[in-house]
Amino acid sequence: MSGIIISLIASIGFGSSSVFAKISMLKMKSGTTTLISLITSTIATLIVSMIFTQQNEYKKINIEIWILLFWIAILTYFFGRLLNYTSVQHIGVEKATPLIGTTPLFASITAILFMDEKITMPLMVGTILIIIGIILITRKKTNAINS
Amino acid sequence: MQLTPKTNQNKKTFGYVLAFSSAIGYGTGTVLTKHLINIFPNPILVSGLSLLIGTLIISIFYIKNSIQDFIKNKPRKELLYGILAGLSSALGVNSLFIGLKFAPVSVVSPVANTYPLVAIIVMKIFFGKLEKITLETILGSILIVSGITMITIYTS
Repeated sequence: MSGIIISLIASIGFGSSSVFAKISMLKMKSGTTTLISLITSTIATLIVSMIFTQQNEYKKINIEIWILLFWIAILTYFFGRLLNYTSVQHIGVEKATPLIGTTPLFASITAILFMDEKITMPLMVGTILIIIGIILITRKKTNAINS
Repeated sequence: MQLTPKTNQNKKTFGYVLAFSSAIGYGTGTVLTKHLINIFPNPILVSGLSLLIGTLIISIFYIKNSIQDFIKNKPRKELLYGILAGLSSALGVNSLFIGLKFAPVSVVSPVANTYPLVAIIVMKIFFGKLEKITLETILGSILIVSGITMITIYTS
């Protein structure tokens, strides 16, 4: 039960992040909002990591780990968060966030292409549902249900 | 470094391209993160250090523009919301990793991946005047979250 509650908190955190970023970008550029959000995320996460990390674990970080960390940073924060916030600025939270929510699909495709993972029936059905969802969100003619 | 389309007509298409590029960035980053956590099993420290490197890289490109942005626009309330965006994102990442200590990926990941619906609900309740929410968007989001839930349950 505690796992589900903590996962819900994660969902609220991820979901509200785009909303706060959208309001922040009313007067600031997406690059500025990304930089500010990254600085605060870094401080908060490093403080939490200090609580959960033992001293001897820091000594295990070698050059191979630093290189992987560099590529993760490029993909997740330079391409991921910067483009996430910039897309929110251009098409809004309601359209950008569900499209960015397709991330696990791209993770599965990458794993199939580079990690020899197999294509399964749930993956195919899930992909079809996602594609229909994307078509619904991105098609031009829409009916507003609120003003 | 500016990420702005030349005409307003291209704004939407540009936004969609950016959203999918972002998803590809996050997706490939996730695969690399999983690989790294197999070698170095401390996900919160991995997250903290990759954030630190990410901040340094973004700073190289955006520190000058950000200073100009502050001088020109004098954002106060917006700065606070930028900080809140960072804190809520950190809350998301850290809760996800802590949640994995209490429950399996097949439970934690689908619940955490409902965040597009949370974003729409938060936007509608607190900042409804900023964006119009359409029926297609709500249905599309539910389909995407259902598809992602199916993929994460059966691949975890």
